[in-house]
Amino acid sequence: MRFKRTLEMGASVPTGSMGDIVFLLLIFFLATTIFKLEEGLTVTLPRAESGVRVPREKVTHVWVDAHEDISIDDAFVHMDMIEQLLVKKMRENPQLMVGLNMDAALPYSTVDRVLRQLRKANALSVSFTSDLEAS
Amino acid sequence: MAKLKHPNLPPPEISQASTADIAFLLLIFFISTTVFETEFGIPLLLPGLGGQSVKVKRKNVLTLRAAADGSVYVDDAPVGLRTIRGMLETELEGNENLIISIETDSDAAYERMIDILDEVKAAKAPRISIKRSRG
Repeated sequence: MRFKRTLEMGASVPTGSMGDIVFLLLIFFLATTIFKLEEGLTVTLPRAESGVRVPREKVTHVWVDAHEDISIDDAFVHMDMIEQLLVKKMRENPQLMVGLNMDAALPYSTVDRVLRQLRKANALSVSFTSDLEAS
Repeated sequence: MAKLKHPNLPPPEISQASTADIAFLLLIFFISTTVFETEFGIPLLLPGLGGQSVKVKRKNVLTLRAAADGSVYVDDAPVGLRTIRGMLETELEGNENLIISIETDSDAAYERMIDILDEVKAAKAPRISIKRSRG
């Protein structure tokens, strides 16, 4: 005896919730988009060919502009305070890399003083931030 | 006057069928405008303070000196910035243990030091030392 199939159902993926999923994604991207983390100072970075991509999350930025104003984490600091600040940061993250955003026109003596502060703080991994020069 | 009878209209409503499309457009907009800001820098590992100094043979050190006026010297002979890379590459081929020492005058611009460091890095020198020259 043959049973007659009573209900014929078409297979379909419900698309009713697609709008909600898209909205969730939208909210995710809206929430995670970071427009700018920190301002820093206005510096004219030196240009270099051999610059490599630096992971932004692992880097603490030290800004030194042409007037020798120094800024770390959006706060102006005195030259002698760099060590103290970085020691604190090194304690939180020993793998810290210091990104030096220094103005191209600075005299090297200033650069040397900053580097000396870094060495005192034992923050030895540095990156001289530069603009990429097309070779 | 006879009162006009309102025809049997369905209650007004705004179509929501295009909500998902609008959300998709916004999503695409945000995905495409999100810039994961990257920065470029020249990484360098500084020597620690108070570490024991290591004696190196004179022939294993090549000194690049940046004078206050921006001119560059290799072991006291003036060179052009563009010729450094080729020269270093030949030198490094002959001696793998070569240490490149960059000595920058206190009054020289930071830019000049980066220019030299860039060339040295481009020549793939494994061991680089930077210091401020006295005087």
